Amino acid sequence: MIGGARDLSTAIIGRRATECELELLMLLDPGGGPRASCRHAEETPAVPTMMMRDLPSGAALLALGRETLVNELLPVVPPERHRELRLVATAIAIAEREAIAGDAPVLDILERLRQFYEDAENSTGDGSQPPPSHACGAGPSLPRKRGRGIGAISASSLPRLRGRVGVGALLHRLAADLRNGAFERCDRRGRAARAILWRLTMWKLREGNPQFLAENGFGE
Amino acid sequence: MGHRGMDHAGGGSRTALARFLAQVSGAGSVEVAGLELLPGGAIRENWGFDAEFAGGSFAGAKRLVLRTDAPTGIPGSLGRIEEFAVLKSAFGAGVTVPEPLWACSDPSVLGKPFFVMRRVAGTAQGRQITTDPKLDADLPLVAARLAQELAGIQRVRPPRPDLAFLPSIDAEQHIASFRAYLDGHPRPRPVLEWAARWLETHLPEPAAPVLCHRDFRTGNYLLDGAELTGILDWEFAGWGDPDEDIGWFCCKGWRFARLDREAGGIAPRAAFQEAYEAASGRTLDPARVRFWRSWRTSAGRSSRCSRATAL
Repeated sequence: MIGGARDLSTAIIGRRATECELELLMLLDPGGGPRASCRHAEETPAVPTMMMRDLPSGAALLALGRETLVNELLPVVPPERHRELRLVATAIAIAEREAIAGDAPVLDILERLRQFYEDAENSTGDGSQPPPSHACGAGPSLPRKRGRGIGAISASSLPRLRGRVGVGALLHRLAADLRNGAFERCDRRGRAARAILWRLTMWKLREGNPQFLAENGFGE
Repeated sequence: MGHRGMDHAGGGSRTALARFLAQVSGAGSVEVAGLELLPGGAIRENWGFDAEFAGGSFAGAKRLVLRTDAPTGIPGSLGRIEEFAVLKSAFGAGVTVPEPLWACSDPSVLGKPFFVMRRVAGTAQGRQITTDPKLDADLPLVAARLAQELAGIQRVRPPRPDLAFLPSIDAEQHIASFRAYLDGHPRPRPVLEWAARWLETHLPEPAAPVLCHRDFRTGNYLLDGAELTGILDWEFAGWGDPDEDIGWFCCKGWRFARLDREAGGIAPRAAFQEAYEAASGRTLDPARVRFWRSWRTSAGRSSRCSRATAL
C-alpha cells in the first residue's frame, strides 16, 4: 500500500494499473487488440470448481455478501459512509470475479507463453533471439536510440525453457525480453508478443474492471 | 496533529493554528472555527476553516484552507514548504490558483509542516464535471481556459532562485527511474516494459525546460459553475518538457465519464490545442504529445496505481 497504510481506496487504485496498460496498448499498438467478433470465442472456460467443496461456492457467497451490502446495508448507513461501502462492494466484486475465473487466466497465459518461447527455441534454440530474417521477415528498422542502455535484467539470466517453468518466471522473461527489444527485428515475433500482452491485459481487466473494458469498446 | 485530529473541538491543534495565524498576520487574535476535512485527500489533507482576524493586515472574516500531509504519501512528491513556494511562483505568474498565504515548517506548531491558502469555491469532482448537462456547452471554453493557464504556468522557467529545489527531469531520466521502479516491483509488468522500450526508441528532441505541474488534469482544478477558480495539487511540480503536462491532461484515465473527449474528458483536443497554441506561441507536434501521453500513462498513472498493490 502507498506509504504502508492499509486503506481500501488506495488498495483498489492498485487494481487500476491495468487500465493504464490497456490505454498504452490502444495508443501504441492500434489495431493490435482482439477483433470484436473474436472476443467471446477466444475466452477460455473457467476451471471446474473442486468437487470437494460444499455449496454455495466461494464466488456465490461473495455475490450474496455484496448484494446484502448494497441492497440492505447501504440504505441504512449515513451518506458520508456510502463511498466506503461502495469500495467494499467493489473489492468483493473483484474477488468474486477472480473466484469465478479460477486458474483459467493463469493457465491460458502460461500455455501461450510456453508456446511462444518453445516456438522460438525450436527454430533457434533461444527464445529471446529472433529466427533468421528469412523465416520471419525483416523487422522494422529501429529509430535512433538515445537511451542510456538496457536495464539490468538480461534475457540470458532468466530461466531458459528447459522443463516446465511457472507463469511468473515466463512473465519475468517476457518483461526482460521486451525491455531489451528482443523481438523488434522480427514482425512475427513482435506481433505474437503483443498478442500475449493484449490477452494478459484483457484477463486482468475482466476481473479487475470489466466496465472499463466495455467503455473502451471491449465489452463482453 | 493526528489524522482527523484537527476537528476535535477544543483540541490543541485549533489553538495552535489560531496562535500561528495571529503571529504571521499581525492580528491581535484569531478565532478559528468550522474545521472540516475536505474530500479527496488520500495523499494530502486539506482542512477548510473560517478565521476571524482581529486587527492586523488581514483583519476580518476569511475562508481558508490548511494543507498538510496525510498519513500516506507518494515518493517523489514535494514537501509542503516546497509546494508552497511553487504555488507562490504560479500565483505570481498570474496562474489561477488559491492565493498562498503562509507556510510553517516548525513541527512544534501542528506536528508536521503545513501551509495556509485562501479557500476558493467550486468542485474538483471529475465525474461530476464530465457528466453535468448544465456544464456541457461551457466545457470547451473551460478547456481553452485551462490551455491558457498551462501556457502561463510554462512561462515560469529556470533558473529561479526561489525554486532551486525543483528537480529537472528529462525523458531519458524519466525512463531510467521508471525502469528502476519496475525492477523493484513485486510483479512483472511486461506491458509497461514494452511501453518503456517504445518510449526509449521514440525519444523526442529535448525542449527548453519549463515549470511542469505534473498532475495537470481534470480532478485537480476547481470549477464554480463554468468558472475556473483554481488549479490545485502542485506537489509533483518540477522542471520538464512543455508537452509533458499536455500528455497527462489527455490521458484516458483522467477523462472520467467522457472517454471520447480527449482534452481531459471535457472537450475535443482541438479546443484545448488551439487555445494553447495561441497563448503559448508554440505549435504542438502530435508525435511529441503522443510520446508524453504514453510516458505519463506508463509512469504517471500506472506506477501510481501499482504502488498501491503490495498489501
